[in-house]
Amino acid sequence: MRRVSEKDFRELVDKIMKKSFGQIEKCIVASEDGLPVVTNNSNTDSMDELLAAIASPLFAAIQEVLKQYSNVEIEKIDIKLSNDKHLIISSLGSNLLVILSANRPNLGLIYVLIDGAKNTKNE
Amino acid sequence: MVTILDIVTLLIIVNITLTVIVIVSILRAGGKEKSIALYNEVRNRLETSERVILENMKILRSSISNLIESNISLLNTIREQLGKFEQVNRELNKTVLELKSQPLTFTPLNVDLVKRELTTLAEIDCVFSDEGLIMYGKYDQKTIAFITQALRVLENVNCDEIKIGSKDKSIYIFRIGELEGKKIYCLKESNIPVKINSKRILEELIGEEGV
Repeated sequence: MRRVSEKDFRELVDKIMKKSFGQIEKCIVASEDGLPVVTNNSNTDSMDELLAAIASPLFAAIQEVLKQYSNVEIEKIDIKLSNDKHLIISSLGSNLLVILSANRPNLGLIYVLIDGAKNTKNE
Repeated sequence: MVTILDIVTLLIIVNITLTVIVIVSILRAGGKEKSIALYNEVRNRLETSERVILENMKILRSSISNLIESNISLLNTIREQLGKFEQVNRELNKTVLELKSQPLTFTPLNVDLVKRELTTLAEIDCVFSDEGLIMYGKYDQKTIAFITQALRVLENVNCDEIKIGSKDKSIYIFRIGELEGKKIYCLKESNIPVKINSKRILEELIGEEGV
């Protein structure tokens, strides 16, 4: 498996955003240590940094707890927010894909895009 | 029936009679020279009258001939029309006889025109919400995601039923109601038109979901 470059992540994020038909507000590839690697914005803002910082420990914590009970891995975590947006965190190899949706999103579409991204990354 | 010949004969007889009467009158009147002059004048007048009568007779004969010709033409037209009418009548009778000779047949309705009603969840391929997530049944998640996106675009049109046709089968999507503020749709693949009993399906779904 070849090493994924920042350029690959950039293409991936652009593709997700393009195919989301406005269902995704933010799409971030975050590193294991909670730093944004690529975002859909040309300039990473504070919100991108915050989301990456939240996603990484959250994902790691839940994964750790679940491992103690059964040998399963988390595919994605979907957190519904009070403003009808969703924060979805998915594993992307050693990185994380963090998505903040629009209000009342087409979750089915977002999940399809996430699964597509994971498959692309694994190719 | 008085013919033209009879009329002409009568006129000649009248002419001769008048001539004789005039001659007798002249002779009785006396005066030889006067008589001759008077005779000539009367004769001239009679000849003029005779010519006028003959010309009128010619005109009359011509008019009568024209009348006869036009009547013959009219009669021919009527005869021709009657011939056509008889032909139409024959054709009509023939058709009626053919229809009478055929046995009555009943053609069953085209099954495509009859909609099959779906009343249970088991008859439906899947139920999904406006979040694009399948709530019941199985179907290609990607297709559901894109159908949901299409339904969102069509939301303002407020359509309750959508048919997506392909070569051999069609996908029918019905909006069956709302659950917890989410619009609920069901999907059925079918090669015949279907309709749905939304109320029964939704009731069954609520039972399944335990809402």
